[in-house]
Amino acid sequence: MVQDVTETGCLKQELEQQRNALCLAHDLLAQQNLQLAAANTELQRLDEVKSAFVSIAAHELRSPLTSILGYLELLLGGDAGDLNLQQKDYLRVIEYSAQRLVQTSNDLLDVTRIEAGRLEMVLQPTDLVAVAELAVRQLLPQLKAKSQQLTLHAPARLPLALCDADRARQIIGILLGNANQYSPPGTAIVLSLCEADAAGFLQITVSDQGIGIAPEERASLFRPFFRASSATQPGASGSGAGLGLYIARSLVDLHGGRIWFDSVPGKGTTFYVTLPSADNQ
Amino acid sequence: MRAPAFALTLRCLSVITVSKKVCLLGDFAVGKTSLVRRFVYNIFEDKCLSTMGVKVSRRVIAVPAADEMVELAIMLWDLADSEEFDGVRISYLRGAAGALAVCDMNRPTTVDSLRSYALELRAVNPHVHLVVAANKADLLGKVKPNEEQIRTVAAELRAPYFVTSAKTGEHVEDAFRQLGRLLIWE
Repeated sequence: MVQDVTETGCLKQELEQQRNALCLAHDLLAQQNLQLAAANTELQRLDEVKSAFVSIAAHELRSPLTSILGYLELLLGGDAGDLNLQQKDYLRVIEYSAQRLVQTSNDLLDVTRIEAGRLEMVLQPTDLVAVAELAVRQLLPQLKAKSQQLTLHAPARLPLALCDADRARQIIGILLGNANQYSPPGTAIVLSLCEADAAGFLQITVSDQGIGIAPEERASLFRPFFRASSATQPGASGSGAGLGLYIARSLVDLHGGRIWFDSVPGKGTTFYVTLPSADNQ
Repeated sequence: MRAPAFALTLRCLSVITVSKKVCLLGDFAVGKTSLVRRFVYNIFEDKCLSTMGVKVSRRVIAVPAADEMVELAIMLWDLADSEEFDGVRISYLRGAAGALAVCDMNRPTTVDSLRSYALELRAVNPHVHLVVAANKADLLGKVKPNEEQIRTVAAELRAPYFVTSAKTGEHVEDAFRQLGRLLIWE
């Protein structure tokens, strides 16, 4: 009996070719996986190096600044003899600049911690009014320097917030600091605390009569190192590294709250923040 | 030679960033804080540290979705066991998108407690996603005595479960990643 095996042979050959192609694809995939894993390891390593560098640089900046500020305090307090007005003015400029450097190095450290997931907070029932008053007190010299008036509104019986008191003060401080920096002298800033529309949240509102934020820059406002073009306009005295709002948003996120804003260029900006209340309703 | 029957292509996926609040639930000393520390810092401390207040940590994981890669920032909320903080339990649970319900495999009562934690959580957030972590697997041999009980409770809660060990790291990453996928996919 004779059997035509041509078709079977062709099928076998095709099957073999498919098997080879599959093996090749498998090898290629394995190779690509290895390359991706290697690239991932390298990127992680680079990220660690970057974070370590920023962290060390910020720490190294802070140590000498502590000495500078300490000796400045002694000089301004008259411990090394009387100073004339001009000398005092010069020293205050040095003091202000040194404090800005401390703030920048603190911000860099916070950003490093946020990006590495190493920023931990402990939330406890907290009197938000007391926290806001502390933030206002810390800003008084800058407000005085620009003759700005700051008003704090809070209802008599505001529920406690479930927040980290230091970080909540930092959030309010960042918003008030921006309002101070990006508003002309003699303008008004209003800080309000109230219960938010969203049940179970408290709302912090900071309004200014400053230069505002251009519509095309609003989407970038919470990105790290972003500085709005208006920051260099007349009326603005901002000179930060562009980290404040990024830190504020990260801290608000960690609290499970929200941050957003309204702004009219040339008229002013209002920032809103919600933080959880410590109620059990 | 014929070209391969199929070709491998690597697509560049768009990346979006999403933040979700995840609560840790479970009885005293089941290892909630240790699981968080293992997941966030990849460390384990062999001592029981009672949490004071609500400790919040954060870790970002990548979750592939249909046409994009989601960078999911998980905000991990870990509440103190102290009665002092019973007054903020609703605030603690409010807004949670997911929860890791933790029990100790060696203590059957902690497995049963998961029902009441889930009930309380779903009363506040009806659509919350839950994953059960049966922790302290390192203290057992190959026989895991309460696994049947854990399987039953997890099925009742409509939650996947993982046998974990914060000490060795066993399935800790899997449990949190599964929760991350549920948060993004569903």
